[in-house]
Amino acid sequence: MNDARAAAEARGHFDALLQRLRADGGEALGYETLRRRLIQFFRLHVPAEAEDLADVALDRLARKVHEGTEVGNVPSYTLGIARMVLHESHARSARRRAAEDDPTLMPDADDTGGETDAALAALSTCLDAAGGESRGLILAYYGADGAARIAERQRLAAERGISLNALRNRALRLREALEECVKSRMGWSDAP
Amino acid sequence: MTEPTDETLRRWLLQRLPPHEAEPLEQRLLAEAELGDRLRGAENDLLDDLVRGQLDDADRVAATRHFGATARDRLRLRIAAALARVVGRPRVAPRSAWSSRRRRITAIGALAAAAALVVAVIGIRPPPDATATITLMASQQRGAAVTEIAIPRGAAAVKLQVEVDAADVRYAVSIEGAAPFAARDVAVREAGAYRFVEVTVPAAALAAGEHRVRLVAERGDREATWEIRTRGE
Repeated sequence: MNDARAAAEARGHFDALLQRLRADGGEALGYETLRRRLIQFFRLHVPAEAEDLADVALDRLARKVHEGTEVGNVPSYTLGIARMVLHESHARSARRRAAEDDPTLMPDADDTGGETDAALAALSTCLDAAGGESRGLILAYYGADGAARIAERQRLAAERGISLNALRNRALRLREALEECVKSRMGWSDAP
Repeated sequence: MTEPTDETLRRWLLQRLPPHEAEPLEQRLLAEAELGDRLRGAENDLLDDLVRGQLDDADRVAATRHFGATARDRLRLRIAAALARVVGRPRVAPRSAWSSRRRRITAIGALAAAAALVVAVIGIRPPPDATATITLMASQQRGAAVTEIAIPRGAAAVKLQVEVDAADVRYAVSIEGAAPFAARDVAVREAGAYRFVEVTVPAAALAAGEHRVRLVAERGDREATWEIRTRGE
């Protein structure tokens, strides 16, 4: 199959999937949401390949939808595909699995100290830019550990008059924004 | 439906949840936003605990593998390490068998005591250059002192990584056996919260049979010994 034809076919599959997702109405699962959840699923099993496998699963789902396969419950059907993709991944070469176990691939293996220092400098700048309330929440929420963690978070939630879930979501958003800020300042890009 | 505890989420992240517990959660993960948010929160807490040295050996290895898999996660780990410094919780050296065994162990009879340093082999790989890697970890776990290690047949050399607790000294690594091996002045490397020294050993020095791997700090009084049994595979 030539590239143009393959691209057109993939576009057709993708459009069919979007249409199917929209068909669920008010509780529709958006494409990006589904992809994010798939990435989370694969991160639990093969973190190194999570994004690639999520895309493989979505491609297969899109193809099934395009072929007219009846997909009743999208999350359940997608999970079935994801488990199959995962199974295939596990069955692939022992070399790849061994590479994941390689301690030299663990974080900071090639960090001589400079990278973490650079991250610290960027983090300080980003914390300052976040503003007093956000900075205070991040440092308090993520500052405690061990047994003090739960107590500190309960205190923070009570102080703000919000639930623990609401507090957690706020802290999650702040941390993600902070990480994006640090990445940006360090010149790190998600682009391949 | 029962909500998973934070501990359950952590076990899930560390791939320790049995299938009958994990599968319903996976189903919910695809269907519900709430569980995904909780899982992301649990992941952040695990990341923070990793860089602050709050995990035991087994969890540390599993978490390091989890967060070391992609460049993006390795950067997140550095950011977490920076955050730990900002909040005044710099990384703490993880608890290891070294901590309770800082005295020099010199007599052969003392090797029985050193046997408490149980070796955990966390990785053996035969990369394309026919060099296998084995990793020996100090552990609090008690059990058999001799650990079986398979060395890939055809491996010309073996990269031996040994966990250490102190980064500010250099080490000597030796292997006793029919073809003894010794290396001196070996610098410590770090991979997240994991500190180790690495030497490349001719495969002959780890030929099938029993060997004693000895690690001696070149300053201070740290010494540890591992008893291993190798076999070709």
